[in-house]
Amino acid sequence: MSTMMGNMRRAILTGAVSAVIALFALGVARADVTSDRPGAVLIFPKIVVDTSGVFGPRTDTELQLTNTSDSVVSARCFLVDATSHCSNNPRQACTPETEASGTPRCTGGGVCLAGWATTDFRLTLTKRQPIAWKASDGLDPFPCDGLNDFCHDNQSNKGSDGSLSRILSVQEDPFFGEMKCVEVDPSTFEPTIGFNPANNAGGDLKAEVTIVSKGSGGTVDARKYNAIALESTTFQDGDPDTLVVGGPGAEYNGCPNVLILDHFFDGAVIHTHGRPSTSSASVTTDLTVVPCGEDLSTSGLNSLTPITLQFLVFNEFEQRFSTSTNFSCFREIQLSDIDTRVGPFGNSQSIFSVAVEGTLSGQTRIRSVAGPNSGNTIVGIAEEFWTGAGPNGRFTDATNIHFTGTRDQGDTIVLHPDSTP
Amino acid sequence: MKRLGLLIIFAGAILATVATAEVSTDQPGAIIIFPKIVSDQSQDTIIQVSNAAGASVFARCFYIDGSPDEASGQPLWSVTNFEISLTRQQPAIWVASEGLPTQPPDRPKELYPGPIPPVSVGFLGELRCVVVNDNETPISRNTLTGEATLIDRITHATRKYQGITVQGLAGNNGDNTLLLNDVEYSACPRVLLFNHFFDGAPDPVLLNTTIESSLTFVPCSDDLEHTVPGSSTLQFNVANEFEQRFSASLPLTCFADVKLSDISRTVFNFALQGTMVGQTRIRPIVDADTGHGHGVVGIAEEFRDSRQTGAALNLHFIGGSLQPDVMVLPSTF
Repeated sequence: MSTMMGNMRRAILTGAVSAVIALFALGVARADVTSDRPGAVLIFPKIVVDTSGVFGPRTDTELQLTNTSDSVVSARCFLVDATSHCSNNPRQACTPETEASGTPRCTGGGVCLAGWATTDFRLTLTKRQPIAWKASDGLDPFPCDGLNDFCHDNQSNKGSDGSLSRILSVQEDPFFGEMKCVEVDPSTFEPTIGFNPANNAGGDLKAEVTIVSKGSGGTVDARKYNAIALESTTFQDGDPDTLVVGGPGAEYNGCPNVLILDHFFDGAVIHTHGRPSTSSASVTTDLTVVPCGEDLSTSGLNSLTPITLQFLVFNEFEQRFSTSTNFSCFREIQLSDIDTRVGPFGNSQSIFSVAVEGTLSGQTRIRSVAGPNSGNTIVGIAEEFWTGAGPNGRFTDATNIHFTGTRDQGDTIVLHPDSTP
Repeated sequence: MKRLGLLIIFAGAILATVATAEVSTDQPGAIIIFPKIVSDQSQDTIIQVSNAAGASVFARCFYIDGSPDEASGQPLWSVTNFEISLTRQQPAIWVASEGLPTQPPDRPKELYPGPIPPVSVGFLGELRCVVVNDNETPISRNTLTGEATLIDRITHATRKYQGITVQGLAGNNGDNTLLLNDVEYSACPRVLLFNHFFDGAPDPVLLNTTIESSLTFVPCSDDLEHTVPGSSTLQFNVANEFEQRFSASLPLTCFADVKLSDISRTVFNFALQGTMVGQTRIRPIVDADTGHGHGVVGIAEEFRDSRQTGAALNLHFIGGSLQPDVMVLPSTF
């Protein structure tokens, strides 16, 4: 009897303790990718270079990358060129928007084909070292190249194998694409957890991206976002070229289940400063998304699985609308083009249009549809384009997107095998 | 019994692991802080607050004016309180100089988040909102997200940042003294990280113009009942691209909106640093004060082309504050 009672007591207590753990864990369950803490994988969802002003104002991207730890760290970075090209002229860059305009870039029957090509490089940062570079130039030499210049205490940006750090410029101009950087051990160049215990060894890299443009009239504009960081777990599966992001056996925290975008509806006119006509501006929003998991060892769209995105749109009246789209490796799209044809045609009939929604702002929840063997998770940023009556006419800003939840299924990032540069 | 003990220790270990929540700019929270709201002749602020949950939520919000008093030069520290209610997934937007009128102009009352008072002309300060239930008791429902867009009246240049959220946790006792101690609410950051161009650095893209930055800080602790502003001393540890390190400090009471070069003319100066960018670690000093901590949160702004354009960004964080911060809400009566 006493054994039975003891078993029951144990069962009840076990259940209670498990329930407490489950409840507590539920209470704080969250996606652990982050745009406000350092991490071991950095994702830069949008890098754009158009120094000739082919697609609008002359534009370049400034990138800032920092080692936040008191240890030397290295990184392997993968620059993904997602620029589209004309089918009958592979040197001619195009976008779906230019082809929907009155002056398409692809002529003679050519169509605009999405592209995808990667290139990689590696670098070493000394303790707490910040660096910055322009995407069109790259960075070579590094501030402490180990040949002519040295950092404090004879430290340098040379790898432990003697290789020089070097950041490549983007592959072409115009360029649209993303970059992923993975923190690696400075001696083996294999992926590693972070070195800083204050950050729970989640990773030591942080970064910012500034897209700077100059219009033909000399108008300068800049928008800035934080790179998205994936924190490392303490588990490493021994395969240095395949990173498990979320799910069972996760080496890195999983990407979010749902992205939450607070936005103005396209075409919303915002009045400020007591509503004089000179203080009103209308706004549209572009969304850029990239997959969390990616096979960076191969090139070509055929190696990528298309991801379906489901959108739930709420206006200020709690009215709900939905739509969907899909993409493969990189997608920048104006909100009101998600459910209408690309370009201005039909935008006023979009569920992202202020004319349809009747309120200035909305909340859109974005969920990628999981595949049979992968989470198909995504991350992204948003950019606002403001048009007003001011002297400069058009300004922009960029913002990171909120997110919530994680998924049971993980994703993988497959790295191109490292080789000494 | 031994196994039971081990089980409880194991459970405790897991709880200890998962309890290290931090503030966030990515995820919905039970407190949201907008460190910089401005409304004057040249700038205004568009505020967006959304309910990320599938049920209605109420919040008590506080505008705290930190603009300098003309007589003393110290922050005014005047507080204006209002309440908002958001239905499920509802976004709300208002312009700081206008607020929202007392009567809903375009919708039934149950779908109206306001009224929201306009801020006074010359307002420079923060907005923070705390999720409460319908009895105005603070609760740990992590539902609020938000953005603030600073907009220039003349040029229409915009700078946008995300509201900083504090996660409500399971140990919330529902009183008006909110402990940011990883039990009631997540702790404020131990260290803020700021990647920046040194003041006066040439713009890498524009070449013939320079870049300047400014920082805005607000204390995590605030006693809104007894109108005692939070205070802190911030230590800045600056590393340039040659791994050379420098330091500076800044006392903070209530609110600070400062150019980098006003914190230190030398440490943040491009000509003296000789490198384009730096990493600055900002740490509030921990002292023997057991009443409350000295954690801060903040944002950065970067200006280009003689301040004709700019961008705002959220700072990065590391770790939880070693001293719990305390927010005291005014009692309702």
